[in-house]
Amino acid sequence: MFNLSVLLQYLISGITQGSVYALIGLGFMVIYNSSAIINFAQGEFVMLGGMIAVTLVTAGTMTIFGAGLPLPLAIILAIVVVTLFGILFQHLAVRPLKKSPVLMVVIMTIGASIFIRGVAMLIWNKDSFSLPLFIEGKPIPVFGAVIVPHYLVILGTTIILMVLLQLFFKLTLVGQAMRASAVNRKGASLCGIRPERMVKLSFAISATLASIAGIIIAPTNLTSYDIGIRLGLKGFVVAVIGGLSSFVGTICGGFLVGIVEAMGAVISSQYRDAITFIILIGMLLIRPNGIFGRKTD
Amino acid sequence: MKRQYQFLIAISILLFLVPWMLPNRYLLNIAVLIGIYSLITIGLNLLLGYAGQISMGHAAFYGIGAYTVSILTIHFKWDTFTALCGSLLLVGIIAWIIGKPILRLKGHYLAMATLGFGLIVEILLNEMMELTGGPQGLSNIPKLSILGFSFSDDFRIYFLIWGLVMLVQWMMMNMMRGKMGRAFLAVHSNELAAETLGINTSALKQAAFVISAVLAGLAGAFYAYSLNYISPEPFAFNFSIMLVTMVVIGGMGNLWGPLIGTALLGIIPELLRGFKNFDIAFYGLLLILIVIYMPKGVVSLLYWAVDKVSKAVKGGQ
Repeated sequence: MFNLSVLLQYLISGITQGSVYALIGLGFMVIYNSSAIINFAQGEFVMLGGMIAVTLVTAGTMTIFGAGLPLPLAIILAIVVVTLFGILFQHLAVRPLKKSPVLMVVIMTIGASIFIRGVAMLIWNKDSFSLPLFIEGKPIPVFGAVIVPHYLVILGTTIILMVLLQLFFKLTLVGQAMRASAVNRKGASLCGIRPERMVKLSFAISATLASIAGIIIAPTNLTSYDIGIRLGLKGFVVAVIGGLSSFVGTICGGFLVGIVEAMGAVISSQYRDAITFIILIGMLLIRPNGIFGRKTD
Repeated sequence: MKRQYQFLIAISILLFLVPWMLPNRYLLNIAVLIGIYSLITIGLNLLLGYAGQISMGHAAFYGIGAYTVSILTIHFKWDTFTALCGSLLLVGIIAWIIGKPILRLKGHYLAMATLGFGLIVEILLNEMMELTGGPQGLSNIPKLSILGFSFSDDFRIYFLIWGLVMLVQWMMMNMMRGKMGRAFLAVHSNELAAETLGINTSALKQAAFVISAVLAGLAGAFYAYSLNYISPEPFAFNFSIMLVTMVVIGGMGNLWGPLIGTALLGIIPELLRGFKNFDIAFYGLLLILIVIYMPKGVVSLLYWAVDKVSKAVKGGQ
C-alpha cells in the first residue's frame, strides 16, 4: 500500500503542479515589484487563459469562424487576448489609483476579480471544460510510477518561461529598467525610465504568464469560471514564500508548495490543504523574514 | 469628540426606528445580518486601522464562535447563555495562543499566515463531520435566552444585536479617548516612535488581535442563535476577504468607517437582486468604482457632506 512508487507518483504530480504555481506566483512578484500592489485578480487571468483557449478550439456559436481553430492558433490567440486584457486592466482600473493608498488598490483588484468571475459566469455558465492534450502518447513508466506525457509539456513550458524571464530581466535593457524601477522608482525615473510604463509592462508580463498557466493546465485539470480563486490563492502564497522579491525564491516556493501539497495528500486527502498551510506557517514562524526571502530591514 | 457622541446618539435613534420603517421580515433579517457583520468589522478596524495589522482569516473566529455555541447547545445540551460565554472564552484563548507567534510576522507574511489559519479552520469545519455535521452543517440551534427572556422573534434579535453594536461602538469611542486609545493612535502614526515612548507595541497588537477575534466570535454566536442553522460556507476565506474589504471601503482607522462600509456592502447585493445573474459582475464593478472615486473610503464622503452642510448653515446665519 505505502510504497516508494506511490510516493514517487505523488512527487511527480506535486512537481508538475508546483511549476504551475510558480508561474502564477511569478506574476504576483512581477507586479508587486513594479508597483507594490498585490494583484488579487491574477487568478482570474489564469482562468481567462484556459477558458478563452477552450472557447476558440471548440466549434460553435462562440467562434467567429464557425468551426473551431486549430489548437496552436487558439493558444496563441488566447495568450494575446489575455495579455491585452491585462494592459487594459492596468490602464482603466489601476492607473487612475496612482495616488491612492496601496491597500485601496489591492481592494480594487479584489473587486476586479469578482467582476471578471461574474462576467465569466455569464459567458460560460458554471460548466467545466478541458482542452485536448497537446501531445498524445502512452504514460512513461519511471521506477514503478508513471509520467503522463502532458506533464512534460507543463514542466517544459514553465522551465522555458522561467529561463526566458530571467534572461529578459538580466540581459535586455527593458528588463534591467524594470528591475531598476523596482529598486528605486525615483532614481529610475531620474535615469529616464518611465515607471508608469514599467508598471504597464509588468501587468502585461504577468497576464501572459497567468494565461499560459491557465492554458497548460486545461487539458489535465478541468477549467471553469471559478478556478481562479484557488489558483490565485496558491500563487499569492507562493509569491509570499518567495519573499515577493526573489525570482529564484518564488520558483522554489512554487515547487515547495506543490510538493508539500502532494505529500499532504499521501497523509490525508481531506486535510491536504490544512497540512500544507500548517507546514508553510510553521516554516514562516521559524523564519519570520520569509523562507527564501532575504532580510531587507 | 463631543460631536462623535452626538452622532452616536443620532444613529442609535435612527436605528431604533428602522424596524418600523422596513416593509417586510426579509429586510429586517438583512438589517440583523448587517449588525452581526458590523460587530466583526468594528473589531477588525481596531486591528487593521489602528494597530496596523492585517488579518485575512477573521471569518475563522466568526466560524469558531458560531460552531462552538451550536455544538455546546446541541451536543452537550448547555444553556444558551453559558454556551455563549464558553464560546467567547474559547475564541479568546485561541486568538491569544495563535496571536503570540503569528503577530511576529509582518505585512504579507502576516496576511499569508492569517489566511492559512482561516483555511485550516474552514477545512476543519468541513471535515470534522461528527462534531460539525460537515458541509451540511448543524440545524435546530436553540434561540438565545438570558434569564428566561428568549430572543425568539426577529424584532427582539434586531434590538439585541444593534443595541450591542452601539454599545461596542461606544466602548470603542471611550477606549480611543483613554490611555490605550492614545497608544493605538501613536502606533498608528509611527510604530517606532511609539515604541521609544515606552509603548509596548507587541502587547498592544496582541490585545487588538484578541479583542477583534472575540468580537468576531460574538458575532458568530449571534449568527447561530438568530438563524438557528449553520454550515461552513459563510465562514469560508472569501468572507475574511470581504470583511477586510468592508473596513477598507468604509474608511479604516476611522471609528465610523467599518459601520459605513459594512452597511454599504451589505445593502448593495440586495439592491442588485433584480439583475439576476448579472449581480456578481455588477457587485465587482461597483467595488472598483467605489475605490476609484472614493480612494479615502466612503466615510470621507460623509465628512465632506457634513462639512458642506455646516458651512451652508453658518453661511445662512
